[in-house]
Parts: sequence; structure tokens; C-alpha cells
Amino acid sequence: MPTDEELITRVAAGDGLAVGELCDRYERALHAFLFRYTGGRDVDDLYQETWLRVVRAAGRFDASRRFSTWLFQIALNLARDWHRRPPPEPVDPADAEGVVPGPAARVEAALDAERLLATLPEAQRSAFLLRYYHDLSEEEVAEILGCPRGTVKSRLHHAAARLVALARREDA
Amino acid sequence: MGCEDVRTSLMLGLALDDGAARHVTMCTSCRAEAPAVRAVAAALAAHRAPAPSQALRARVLDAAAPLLDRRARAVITPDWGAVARALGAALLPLPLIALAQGYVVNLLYRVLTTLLPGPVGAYLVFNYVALVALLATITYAAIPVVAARQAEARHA
Repeated sequence: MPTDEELITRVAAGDGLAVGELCDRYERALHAFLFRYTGGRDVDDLYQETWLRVVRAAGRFDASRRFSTWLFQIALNLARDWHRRPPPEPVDPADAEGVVPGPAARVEAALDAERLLATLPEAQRSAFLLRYYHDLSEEEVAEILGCPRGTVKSRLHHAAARLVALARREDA
Repeated sequence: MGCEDVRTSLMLGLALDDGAARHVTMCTSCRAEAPAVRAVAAALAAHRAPAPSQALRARVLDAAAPLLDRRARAVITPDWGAVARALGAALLPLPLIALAQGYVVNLLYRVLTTLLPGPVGAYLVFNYVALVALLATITYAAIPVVAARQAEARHA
């Protein structure tokens, strides 16, 4: 089975099958990361744009790096840019009243976690999501975020403390 | 392992080593915090993200197809024309640059050998010439590389 790094080299040469193979390997993880980072808004667009950037930049991929960290770095940069955009116009409550929650309505526990994660500052949230949900090591998270390992460690500590404090406040 | 490490490990669901497990039982503060940390960890673990749809996968591959096509063509035929044009444009002002540098070196040599002992002045001028030559070499060597990359980026 070809490695991710071999596949991205084939992508650089214009191999469509290699893109499909990489999508198969990372679609769930990448989509989940973007979903949690953005709280579920514009995920599909960000997901598509991430893969298009991968294809565009494939020729510049540094073979000494891991593909997964490079992929998450691209996704994170796009998501950060998205985060800087102004939020969408608030929905008129009068319009929202008639909206019936569809089958995609999330369970309460998921909503709680989503709300907790959304309250974390961006730097802590990205470090926490990558470490907690994607099982990346502190070194890999540091590489993706472009900061020292100690900074990742401290962001994780702060995120954990903040999440507990927020959960307590919600309970109270 | 300190309190912060233990609590973060608990929240991340990492296996606690003997020392950390002992810490949780011994430290009053961590013992008090542990249930809240575990509750948050459980809520986070229950947070499921939806999988991307097959339609999204197809959309991505469709959007990537023209980019891949251009990539394949770019690999087969590197844009040597763009590289040659960039080199030509960069070499065009070279005689003028050489002339200006010759004038500067000449002036520098005259001033330095007047102010300083002859060999010291000559040594400083030689250093200046070597530095300029090195910078020029690096700059001109980079031109084909940069031009090729730019051509590739335009194709992508």
C-alpha cells in the first residue's frame, strides 16, 4: 500500500486516483476537525477548499514532513481565515419560530460539548481538538500550529482548566 | 507530574502512570476536581461529528479534476519559455549593474587607500567585491528556480 507521502507525490504529477485514495484515508478526520473547529458552519466548503489547496500545493510538499500534519495545517489555516470573517447576519426570531428541527438535530450532550469547545480561545481550541480528537502527539500538534511543544502543553492545560470551569458554571 | 499535567491527562483520556494515579488519590485538589474533569471528558467523547457525504466526496474530486489535469500537463512539458524569459529579463540590466559596481569599487579603492594603509584598503575592497559577487551569483542562480515555480503555480 503506498504511503501518504508517495500518494501526494503522485498528486503533484496530476494523478486523480491518488487524490481519491488520500480522501478515503483522511475524509472522516478532516471533516470532523473542521466540523468541531467551526461548530458546523460552512464545513463542506472548507473541506473542499482544503483538498483543492492540497492539490494546488502538492508540488511544494516537503517530503521530509508527514502528510497528515501538512493536511491539518492547511485545514487549520483555512479555518482560521474563515474564523476571522464577520459572523452571518443573525436569524430573525420570527422566521426561526416556524423552523422544525430536522433529523440532523444533535443530541443534548453533543450540543453541550460544542458549546464548551466554542468558548475556548482559538489557539486553545485548535490545540485541544487536534490532541483530543485526532490523537496527534504534542510534537505533531506543535508542528501544525507552528509553535514550540511547551506552548502546546500550556494551551492544553489552559483549555482543560477552562473547560472544567465552564462546565461548572453551566451546572450551577 | 503536577496537578495541571494530571488533570489534562485525565481530560484527554490518556493512560495515567503509577505516579499520576497516586497523585490523583493523594492530592486533595485533584481528587476534588477529578469528577468534573471526567464529566467534561465524557461530554467531549459523546460529541460526534458527522461523516462527509458521498456527494461531497464527488464534489471535491470534480473540482480537483481540472487542477490535476493542468498539473499532469505541466509535468509533461515544463515551461522552459517562462524560465528563459525570466533569465533574459534579469540579464538585461547586468552590464549596467557591473558598470555601476566597477565605478563604486574604483571609488572605494581610491578613498580607502588614501585613508588607510594600502594593503588594508585593498583587502577591504576585495572583501566588498567578493560579497557583491556572491550575492549576484545567488540571485541569478535563484532566478530559474523561482521562474519555474511561478510557472508551475500559474498552471496549478
